[in-house]
Amino acid sequence: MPNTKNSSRGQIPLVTPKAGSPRSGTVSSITLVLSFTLVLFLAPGCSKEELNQALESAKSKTKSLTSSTVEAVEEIVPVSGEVILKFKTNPIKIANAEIDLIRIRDGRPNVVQITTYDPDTFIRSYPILLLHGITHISTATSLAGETIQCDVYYQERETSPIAMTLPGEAITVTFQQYNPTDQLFTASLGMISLHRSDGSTMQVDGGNALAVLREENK
Amino acid sequence: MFHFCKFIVVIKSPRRIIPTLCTTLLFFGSSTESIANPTGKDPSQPLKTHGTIDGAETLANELHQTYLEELGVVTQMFEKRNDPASFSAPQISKSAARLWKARRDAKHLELMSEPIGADLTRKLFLLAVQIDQFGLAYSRTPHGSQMVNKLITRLRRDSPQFQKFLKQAAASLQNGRDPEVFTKQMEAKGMQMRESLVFFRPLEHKKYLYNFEALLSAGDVNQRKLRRTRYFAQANDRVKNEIASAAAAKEEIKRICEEIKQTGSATLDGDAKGDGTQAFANVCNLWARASANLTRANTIEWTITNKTDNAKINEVAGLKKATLIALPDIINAMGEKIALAQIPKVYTKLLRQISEVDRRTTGRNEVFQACSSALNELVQKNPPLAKDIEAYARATAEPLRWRQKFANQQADYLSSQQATAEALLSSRAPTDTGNRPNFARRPGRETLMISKALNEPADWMIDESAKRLIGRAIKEDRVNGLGPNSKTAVIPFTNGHYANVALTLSPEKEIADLKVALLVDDEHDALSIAGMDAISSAEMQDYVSIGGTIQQVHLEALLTRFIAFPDAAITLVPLGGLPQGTANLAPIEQTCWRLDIVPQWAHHRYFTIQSGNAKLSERKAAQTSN
Repeated sequence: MPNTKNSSRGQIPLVTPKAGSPRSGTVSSITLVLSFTLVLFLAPGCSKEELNQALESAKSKTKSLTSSTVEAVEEIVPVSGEVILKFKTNPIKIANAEIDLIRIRDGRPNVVQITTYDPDTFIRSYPILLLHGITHISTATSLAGETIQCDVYYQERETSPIAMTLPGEAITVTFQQYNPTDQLFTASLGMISLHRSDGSTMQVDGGNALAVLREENK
Repeated sequence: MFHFCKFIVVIKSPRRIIPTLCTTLLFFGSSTESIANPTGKDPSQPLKTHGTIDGAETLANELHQTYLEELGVVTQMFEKRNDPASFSAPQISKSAARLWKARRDAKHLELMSEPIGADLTRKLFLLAVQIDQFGLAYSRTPHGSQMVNKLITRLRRDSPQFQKFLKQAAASLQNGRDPEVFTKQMEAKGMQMRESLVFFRPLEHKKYLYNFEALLSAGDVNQRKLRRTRYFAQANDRVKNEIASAAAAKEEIKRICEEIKQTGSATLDGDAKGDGTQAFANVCNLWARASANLTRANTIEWTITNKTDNAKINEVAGLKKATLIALPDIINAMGEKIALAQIPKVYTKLLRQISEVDRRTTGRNEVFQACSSALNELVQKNPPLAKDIEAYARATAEPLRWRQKFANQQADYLSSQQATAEALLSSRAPTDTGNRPNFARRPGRETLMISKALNEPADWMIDESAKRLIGRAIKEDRVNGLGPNSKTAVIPFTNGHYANVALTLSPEKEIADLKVALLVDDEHDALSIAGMDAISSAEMQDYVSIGGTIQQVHLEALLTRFIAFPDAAITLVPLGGLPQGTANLAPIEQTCWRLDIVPQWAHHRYFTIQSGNAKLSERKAAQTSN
């Protein structure tokens, strides 16, 4: 399995979505853009110390995004952070991840969506990952301490078979900590067996996540 | 004359028994009515008639019965072909006369544009050839030779009377008297002559027939002209009726639209009043019903022009245009009177209808595109809904994208071992002629799996194609369920065939999973067209493709399929289109094969589903990796 692959998103300026873009309507006035590092280890979880180390590492690579949009554009802040997926033998690092909490407000559950790519562009730097789950939590900050069942979608290379959770199965994502200053979340992932499109299976032995949220806050 | 009659009478009884016995043995239980097309299971069923011309079905049934009886006679005699002395001369006489008449009647059926007419022409010719050979073979036996001498004596003796008849016939022809009477009398005489002449070499026939054939032929030309005019008029009437019904549906669409605009409701199907969404559904139904009218009209037109050009394409386009104008108009009209609180419910109802119709048209998302502006305006009246829709689209876009890619990859994997319908049906394989009548068996040669032309007797064609196709794996694209609770789906007519698919797969688990991912439950519908299309297609079991096993094959005539075409069968013809025949092939000769398929897997746009058996074999084959 390939090791770390830097995301091309590091070169993409982070700006507030343009009016009229798919995100602009629901990503409300307070859009938090946080870098998110997802780390999966062989063990189903890791210590607080390890998490803090990872957090610092991510922070060192992530420039503050809380400054104005103008500053963000001018500085062309690279979104860093990293994801480490470790399957049975080899850990895999994926740079960049975002998490959206999308509220629909008509009484149906909300969506938590973690992506390691920008859904608004066609640019993909593999491997890519999507975690997609539903929750009744309505604000991102309340996610800490919550456990959410998520569908997993993973593709190692552009030409490789996609792996995803089987119908009725989901990975357990436990959000452990939220740092409002750095806008970073940590989360742990449970174990899951993924089903590849070629009929084979792929075992994920759990892991941890260091997370940054793009939150719908209104 | 006396001797000849006596001869016929004497041997009347046994010759009745033989065909009756044969029919009973060979075709026990078969109805005299043409109730079904030939299938792999029952190849002997006759091709169905479309019945555009009055009397066609009755004539076809009679002729089919004659064919079956004479087939029995011929196959029995063929068994004894090395012992011609054992042949029954009266039977040969009777069969020769019946076949001569039946072949003429089959031509009449062809004139009525009935494909079974062409099929019977082929079949009866093959029997007539055999009977002629039996007659000649018998005439060379000692008994036969004596009989021929007696026949010569009688024919010579009757010659003056026969010539007198011919003179009267010629006069009748010249005076333009009733051609029906002329033909009837000529046919009676012709049958009588055939009873004797079947024992003579063809070159000798002229000696006894004089100008009989020339007179009959001249009469046929006249009668054919008259019949053609009459039949074309009947066909044209049918076309006009169908076109008028389609035009009425178009007007009805306009009326409904106008009524909704003015009052917010419309009278639908009789006296019942319906709201906007019901009117929307009604217009979609009218489109489907009028499309069936136009499909029938277009196909009947083929019988008139003798070409499979789609003459009604403009009417089809006009109907589509009217519908695609009416549907957004209805939405706009609803928007003017609707209570804000009702908008979400109405919006999702409309989305569902649009998604279902869109999968049944020739285009892609044409209905949605036509309605999107009106839908948008409706939605903008309820700003919270507009926001919800946008959020919903964002919340569901990624799982849909991933699931679609995953399903595509799985379908590629699943279909890698299966031939596409096009590849399979256009491939060649040796035929097995073992089930043909004994006189027609020959070493199998390589032929196309299915022929686009009725170029051999239909029962041989279906038997040989079915033997090669039943049990074969096949992949078909575009599967549309017949309804939410239907256990059958169809693959629209394309490349000379269509298919019925038994919906034996159980997608409940996949649908439930999709609903969770798309935030759909009993109280909440999908809010985007993509989400709604995903759910409604899953519930309808509309699939992108299926792979399965051919369980049964049916042979239908293309003309009959789309003339005797029930409204409910419109799923076979995507809305906005017409069935496409094969160019440069007479419409009456064109086939329409039906495959019955039991799927092993199905490719929904957002998931794949496999039967228990397919999963088991896949599990064995799959390699588990990390």
